[in-house]
Formats: sequence, C-alpha cells, structure tokens
Amino acid sequence: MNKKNNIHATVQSLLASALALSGLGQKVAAQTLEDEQVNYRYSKYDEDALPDGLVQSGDPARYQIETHQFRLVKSIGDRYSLTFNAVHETMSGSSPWFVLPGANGTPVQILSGATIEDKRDEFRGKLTRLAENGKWSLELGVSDEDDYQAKSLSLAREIENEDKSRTWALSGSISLDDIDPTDALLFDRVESAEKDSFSIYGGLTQVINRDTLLQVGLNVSKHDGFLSDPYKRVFVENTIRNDNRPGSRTQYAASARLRHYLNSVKAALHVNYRYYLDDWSVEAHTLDISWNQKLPSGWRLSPAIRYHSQESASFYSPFFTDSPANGFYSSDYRLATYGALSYRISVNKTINDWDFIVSAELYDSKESLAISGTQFQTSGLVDFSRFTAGFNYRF
Amino acid sequence: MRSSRIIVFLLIALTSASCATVEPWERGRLAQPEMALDVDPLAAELEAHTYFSKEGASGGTGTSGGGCGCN
Repeated sequence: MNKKNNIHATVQSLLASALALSGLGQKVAAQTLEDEQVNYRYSKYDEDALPDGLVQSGDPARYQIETHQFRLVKSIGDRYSLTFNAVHETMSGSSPWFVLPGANGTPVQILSGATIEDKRDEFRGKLTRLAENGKWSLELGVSDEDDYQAKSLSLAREIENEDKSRTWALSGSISLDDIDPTDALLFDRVESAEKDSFSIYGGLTQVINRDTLLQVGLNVSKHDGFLSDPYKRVFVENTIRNDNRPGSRTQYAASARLRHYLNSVKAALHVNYRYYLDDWSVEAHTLDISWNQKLPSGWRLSPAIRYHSQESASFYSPFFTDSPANGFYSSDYRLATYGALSYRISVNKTINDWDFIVSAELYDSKESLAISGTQFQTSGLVDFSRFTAGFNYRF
Repeated sequence: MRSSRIIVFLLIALTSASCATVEPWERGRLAQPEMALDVDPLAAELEAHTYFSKEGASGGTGTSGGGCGCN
C-alpha cells in the first residue's frame, strides 16, 4: 500500500514538474503574463443591398468597411506587460436615413442619398501588473472619426483563489465622447454634442472539472448625453423629424461562457450566452456556439453559429402616424424587434512561432427570426458578409 | 420582473459552478489553446465591435474602449 502511495506521489510530482516546465499548468491560472507577440488582421465587411421593394430612394449600395487591426504584447520585466492595440477603418456606402409609410402601411426605406466616406482610428494602451494573487490592468484609449471622438479609461482587477481554480474579475471604465456631425446646418442636425458612459463588470471564472471551465459575469453600463443618431430622421405625423431618444440609458448584460474539452476528438466546445436588458425596453438573448477542432500538422478548424433575438425599444416604430406623448421616437432598425443568425468559420495554421488565420462570417437578420415572431415589418435590417486574414507571431 | 431574471440566471449559473477539486497537474486539457475564453482576441474584438454597431444590445463580458459614431 505504502509502495503504491509512493509511486502515486512520484507520478504526481513528475507530472507537476512536466507541466511547470511546459507552462501548461500555469496558463490555466490568470496569474501569468500573456506571451509576447505581434498580431495583425485585415477584414473586409460588406453589407447586402436592401431588396428593391423596400427602398424608395437613395444609394442602394450599403456599407463597406475595411479594417486593419494591429496588436503588440511586450513584457517589461517579470511583473509588467504592455499591450498596444491600433485599429484603422475606412467606411463607404449609404446608410438607412428614414422610413416612409408605403402602400397598405408597408414601410419603405429611404437611404442616405450620397455615399458616406469616413475613417476611424483607434489606439489603446494597456499596462498589466502581476500581483500576488492575480493581476491589475489599466487601459487608456482614443477613437477618432471625422465626426466622433471618444476617450476611454478602464481599470481591471483579477483575483485568484489559493489553488487557482477560481478567478474573480472586477473592472470599471469611463468613456467621454464628442459628437460633431458633418453637414449639420445643411440637414438641421445637432452641431455639437457630448455623451458620457460608465461601465462596471463583475465576473467569476471557475474550473468545473479537468475538462470544463465556466465564466459568469454581470455588466452594467450607464450612458448620458446625446444618445440619438444625428444622421437618422423619423416620419412623425406627416413630418420628417430628427431621431430623438432619451438622454440616458442604463444597460444590464448577464453572460455565461462555457468551455468543454473533448479529449477523445481533441476539440473544445464553446458555448456563450448573454441575457440583455435596458431601460429603453430592449431585451435580448444571444447564443454563440463554436467547435474548435485541433487537426494534425498544426491546423485548427473552428465553425461557429450565433443566434441573436431582441425586442424593440419602447420608442421604436418604422414610422409614427401620431406624435408620441413623451416626444421620443426612432425608426433605427437596430432598435427594432428582430432576430439574426450568423455563421462563422475560421481556419488556423501554426508553423513554429507563427499562426496564419483566415475566417469568414455570414450574417442574416429578419423580423421572423425574433423569439416573439414578426411584430411588424422593419425596413433596413442588415445582412452582411465578412472576410478576415491575418497572422500572429510570438517572439 | 425583468431584472429578477438576471438574478435568477446568475444564481443558476453560480450554483452550477459547484465543482470537483482539480489538481494543477490535472489541468493540461484546460490549458489547451482551444480552451481559452477568447481563442483569438482580435477576432473577438472585431466581432464585438460589429455586433455593437449593428444590434440593439451589447456588453456582458467586460468593460473596455469607447464609443463610435457607427452607422
């Protein structure tokens, strides 16, 4: 019996040493710095044209966006790490402007007449410091467009329990945004406005067993200021008015993320669910399931499917035959009742310190995909495709 | 009524998190790259930004970054 115990202890010790040497055992815990690396991605996003019967006028070519993402992770000594993110986007195309009542009350979309050309640059720097039982991180960010500037700050703390099977996370962020719409005088838009956002998050990541991880979290965000879309108009009582939303919004999002490893097939199942609610009466359920299959020779294949369903904001309608008593109205399709299905696939090939990635996504939204079914026809719902290619290099 | 759903959801999720002790040397599978919460952080960022721009709901897994004038 003693001999058996000794052998067991020796095997455990050897396994622990092997894991420590390989770094595998440590990577499960949060108390490590991310590997030093450079990441780059190029993405092309392309929205489908709206069906002919739904558009009365405007440029039918909707948004196209080209995105370059760059990320650098660099250690500073043993306890600090710096992560730098840069994003450059160029956008062109037209966007839903307002909706008119058509024959039999069917909504007819008016798209913006001229092609919109814009670009966005985003820079973020994050300093992470290892602590005795977890880590701290502080991130500063700026996002700049011709008509929108955002400055953000976030602070995050992760705390592990003694055996590193449980990690608590707490973070808070603030974003101060300035909005300066183009052609404000020409189109009777607000000339200059501000929006302030505060957000807190609390989460728990728990090792369930040797194959399963679960993370649950709650995120509360509060926005104040100009929350309308300065480029959208609304048909109200036979007049065309500016989109007009309440000046504050409180959002609640509860999430659960499950990771389960199937050792027999060397694959990981990811299941993400989010329940969302806000004080504009938008309620949403989002489920995202992906299968991450390890293949021979450094290949990985990851198909995924995502379902999103939401109920409309209390002040949303495609158009308003009567003026709402509270004075709030929007016909922005993003605040409508609808559902969306998206399909993604990602292929990853690892060669030594390099990963090469290509991925694609198809996104399809419809009123009938909402959990509550079609409430009324909504023009402007978006379908898009996205293609991404890039690499990671660890040094 | 609706906010109580969030509390019930979190309670169920936390209750289900009761678990067996997993020793450090038993965590090799959990440490596989495929088991990361975000296997590809840049892809996760881009997807979150796209859905934030095109849907009426956002957030849930942390706090980061500022807004945008996304149409």
